[in-house]
Amino acid sequence: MRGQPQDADHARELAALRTQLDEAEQTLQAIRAGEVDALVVDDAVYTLDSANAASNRLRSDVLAQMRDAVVAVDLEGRLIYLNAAAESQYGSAASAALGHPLEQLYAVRWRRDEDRARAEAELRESGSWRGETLHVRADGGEVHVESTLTALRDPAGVAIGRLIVSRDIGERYRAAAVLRQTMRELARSQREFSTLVENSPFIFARFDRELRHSYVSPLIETYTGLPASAFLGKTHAETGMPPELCAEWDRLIERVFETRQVVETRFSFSRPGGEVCHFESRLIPEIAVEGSVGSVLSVASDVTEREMADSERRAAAEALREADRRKDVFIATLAHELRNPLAPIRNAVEIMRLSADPATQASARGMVERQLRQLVHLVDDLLDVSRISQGKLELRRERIELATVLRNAVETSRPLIDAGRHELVIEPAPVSGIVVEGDMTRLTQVVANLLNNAAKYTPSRGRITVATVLDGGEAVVRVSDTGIGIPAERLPEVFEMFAQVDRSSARTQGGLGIGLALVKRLVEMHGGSVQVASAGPGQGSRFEVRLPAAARSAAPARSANGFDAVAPSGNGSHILIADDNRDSADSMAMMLGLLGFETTVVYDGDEAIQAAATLRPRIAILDIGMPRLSGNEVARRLRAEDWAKDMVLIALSGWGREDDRRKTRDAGFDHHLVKPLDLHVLSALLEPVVGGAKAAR
Amino acid sequence: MAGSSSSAVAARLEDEDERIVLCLYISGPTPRSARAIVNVRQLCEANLRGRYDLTVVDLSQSPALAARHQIIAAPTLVRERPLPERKFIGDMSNSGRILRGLDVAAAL
Repeated sequence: MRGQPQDADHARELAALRTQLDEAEQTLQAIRAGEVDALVVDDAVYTLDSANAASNRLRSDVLAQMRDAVVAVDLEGRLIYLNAAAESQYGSAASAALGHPLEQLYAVRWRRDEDRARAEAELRESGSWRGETLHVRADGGEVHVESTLTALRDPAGVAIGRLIVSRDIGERYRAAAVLRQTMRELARSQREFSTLVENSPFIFARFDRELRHSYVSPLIETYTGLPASAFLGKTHAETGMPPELCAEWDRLIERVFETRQVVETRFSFSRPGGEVCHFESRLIPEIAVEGSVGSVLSVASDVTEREMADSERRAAAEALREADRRKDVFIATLAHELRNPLAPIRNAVEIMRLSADPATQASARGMVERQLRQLVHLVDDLLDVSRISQGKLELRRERIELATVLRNAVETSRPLIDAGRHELVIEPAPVSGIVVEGDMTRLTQVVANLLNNAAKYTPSRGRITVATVLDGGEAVVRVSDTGIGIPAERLPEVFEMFAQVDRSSARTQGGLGIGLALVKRLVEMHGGSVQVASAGPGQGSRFEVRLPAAARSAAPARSANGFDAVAPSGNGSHILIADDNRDSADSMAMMLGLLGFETTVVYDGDEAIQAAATLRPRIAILDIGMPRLSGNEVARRLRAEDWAKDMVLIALSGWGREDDRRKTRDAGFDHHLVKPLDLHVLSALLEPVVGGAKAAR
Repeated sequence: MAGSSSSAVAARLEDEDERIVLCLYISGPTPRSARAIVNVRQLCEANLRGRYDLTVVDLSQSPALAARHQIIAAPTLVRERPLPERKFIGDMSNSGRILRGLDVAAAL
């Protein structure tokens, strides 16, 4: 061919012309056969399928300009259309991708395995499917998409493939993921918050602008009986809270909204059961994003226990103050009571000094005796109360006739009964008598106190009735009077110590308010009980003592009253008396002298020893509390001397406690007597000594 | 093709020259266009794999491009290279005729 270039060129030209003819021929044939769907004339494209032309055109414009990726595939899954958005979304030019299988553009990863089958089924049934999938591009890039699959049909309705419109939802997906994460975080922190709040002893409540509950801790149920949910969205009034409390709360919450300041409040609330609870609450402003108070949080704590403790403490303090006040009253009364008998005693002494008339002297002596007895009784009661409260009072129990107790008590109380010019009625006791196991002295004290009480609280010329009966297994002593009676509300406290709170009455009647307290304690020590009854003021009172009655037996009950008159019996025995209280020493010397003793009086311990050494008395009565040398010391020194070995040493002391008695015993005393000296007791002590002395002679 | 020093470059140029450059003109997403696309791609992948470049031009979006190859109907497939240009009209379902027309049998 190289040898004939001109021929070759010629041949090529011919072939080209032939080809162009062929192509023109084929074009015409194709157009005629309907194998083309558009003609191009002068830069204008004329679509031949007139029936669908407009819609096709529209559709293609729409698809081309959509921002969603649009691809179409034929029935075999080969790409037959991509719009510009699809080209950029999948990073592939249409020209390079068209005609290739769709998988070459991207692989579909389904969210769930069953999604694919469901999508296919939906496409078959309804012609479309919409859902979210992940598209993996050829370069490995991932695109989260929401896709719409639609069946493609030709104008005749025959399926030719499918249209896939995919929107990149990466942004949304990531946002959703962030949202999900945030929600999880939120749920977690809410759980943590709930755990905190719901296990807290505080009650939390949140209020919105309309003062409605937007949160309430579950704890509220234990106080109101209503679940927390019953409060949500409701105002206080709507929850059924008492109106005053509603008003107060609403006012406080409004104030927090306005002032943005924390408010503290205290309030009380009755549980459904009626139990009152006390709370302290802080109302806290919660600032919203825009800076205003968005809500108000209330944190309430139950301070009921603290409140109770406070009120208990207040009550205890009040009780202390009351006890203190009673004590003050008592001391004032005591001073009064002790001073009271002194005036008549002083008067009587004056009278005795001024008048030599035997009748006047006797009357004055009687006066002194009564007042003295009153004083001693008072001091005895005081000491006994003190002993009982310290648990140091011991009963010397023996079988005793109740009648004897009654007789002794009447003896004791007679002066007071007579002073009131009262009529004493003793109802006859059973002939067989009533026997109890008890302490004669104490039971006498009990009945005497009741009689004294009746005498004191009964206006002049009243009637006091005493009865002793056997009721079942109990010995009963009833003391009734026609006195001022006791108001019903005061009955329960009659037996309390210093119960006599009506001071004006106490002043006029006298008394310390310990007599009845002592009665109650002594009776209880005997295993018995005492009760009081009164129909009211002016109606008189009735006291009833019940004691366990002892079984009757052959053993004789003590009935001697020990109150026989003291007969002179001194027989000239020598007694040394030592007491720094000269009156006390001198008066005793006088008394013992009258009884027939020879006495020597000294006024301190040293003198006592000297006198004892010189005079060698048979008996020495020594005061314990003497200056320089105490009675105990004197006794010790005397006992150290041979000549004093058999001397009868009697201690005389204001103190009668066991400890005091032990000390005098250790010092060498034979006897311990408590002031004021009871002549009967002394006489009983001296009798064998004197008798022995007489025998020795 | 003379100088050995430039033979590699020449060979590559020759290679470039040997690539078959095709351009398919369609007029929007019509069934016929779709068939044409699929048929051309199938034909090329089966016979010219790795040796062809195909550009698809949608005349409904860019009608002006029709002037370049004096297109008068769509679908039309143009063999730009090797020269001379050849044109095929229709949905490209007659693959045998097109293959013959593309005159690439010899090149296989």
